[in-house]
Amino acid sequence: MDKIKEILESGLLECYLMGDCTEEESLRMQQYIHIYPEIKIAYDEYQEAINKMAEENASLPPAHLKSNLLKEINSANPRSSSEHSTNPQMPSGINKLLLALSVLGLLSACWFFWNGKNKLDKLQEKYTILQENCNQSDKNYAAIKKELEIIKAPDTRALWLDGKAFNQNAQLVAYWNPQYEYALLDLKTLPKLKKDQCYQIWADKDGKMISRGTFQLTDDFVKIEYLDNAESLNVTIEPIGGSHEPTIANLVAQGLFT
Amino acid sequence: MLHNESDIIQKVIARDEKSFELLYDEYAPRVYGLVLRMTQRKELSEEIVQEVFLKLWNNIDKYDAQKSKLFTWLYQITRNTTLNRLAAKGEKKNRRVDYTDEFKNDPSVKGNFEAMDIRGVVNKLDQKYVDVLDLVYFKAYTFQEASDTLNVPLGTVKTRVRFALSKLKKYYDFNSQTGLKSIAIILIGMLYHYG
Repeated sequence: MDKIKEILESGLLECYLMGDCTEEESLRMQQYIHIYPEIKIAYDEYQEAINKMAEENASLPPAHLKSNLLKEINSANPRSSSEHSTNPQMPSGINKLLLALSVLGLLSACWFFWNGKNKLDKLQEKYTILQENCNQSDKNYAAIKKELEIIKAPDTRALWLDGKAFNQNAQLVAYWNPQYEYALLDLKTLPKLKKDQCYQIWADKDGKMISRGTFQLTDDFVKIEYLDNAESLNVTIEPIGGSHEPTIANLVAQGLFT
Repeated sequence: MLHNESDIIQKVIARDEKSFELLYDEYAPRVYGLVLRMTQRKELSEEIVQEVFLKLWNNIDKYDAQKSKLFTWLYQITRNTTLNRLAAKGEKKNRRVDYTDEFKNDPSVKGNFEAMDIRGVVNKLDQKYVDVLDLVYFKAYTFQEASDTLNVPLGTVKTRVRFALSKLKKYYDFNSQTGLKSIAIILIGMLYHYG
């Protein structure tokens, strides 16, 4: 208690309050305030007293003082002005409106961009498909044109195949061109197939039946493999995927080169 | 003290001018009143107030709320700034204790001249306490300078300042209690009258 009394009567606390202490004295006083509640109470009372005195003697400063001060702050620290104007915690009404409009504009731009990009992507996709279709059509056209050229070529021989010999209602034409080693079938009539069946065409050469391919009934020309010196062409019905040897019992059409 | 003052201080540290304006609006009248008393010159007081608040703006991050209230910190800045300004003008030792006519008649100064006199505020204190408080608090004299001016020992100045501050605290507490009592009496009277 004597220590506290000694400190309070030393005048150091008043000195500290006024800001007149040395650094060492201030540190010492801070420790006292921290350690002794009585000194803390006295210090708080003194703070309250000088504040009350100031309130009693307060005088409104001229308005220009504040504006000058704010200008001074802005000129000394232009960063603060911009920070203030964009402070998200305290935006003015205009700033809020500008912010809202900016966000709206940005969202609209994003929507237009996204929408435009979406449409562009779809158009690009359609264009790609069309281009692929065109390419395919070009190829088909080229193939058909080539087939027609071959069919019309002087060296092409049209071989008629039918099923009279096998009592079958079958008719088809084989276009056979030795120059291009190219062969096509134009299907007219063929017996119906079961689901697990297909047609298979055989070329007879030197007493052997050599497969030239399998096919289904179609309106298009059917390309088959060419074979030199074939003596006849024969069509059989075979299981799906074809057979290594022709099923003679299933012969539906035949045409002879001789 | 401002409501949520610590938040405002943090915003000022983050360079928020609006919060700085809040601090200025709250404390500038007290600082200006103090400086007017210290310098007794309006134009110089304005310059000092501007300097004080610029120091607040530039050094607010050094303020420690654990060590003192904001006004105490501001008061110390005000006192030192005023002392330095007066010292630079070579006027400190020659300051007149009385107010000038210009100061007395300035309508921009809040209240009348007498109301700004500490003796008008704490007239219940003895003159010896008023004198020492006036010198140390309002005139920014050091304790030693007050001792020299009043021609009393340094220890006596310290004791008188302490006593004056304690008395002032009690005076303001009494005034605030008296104010509450007055309001209570008026309310009771109204209830009695209209009841």
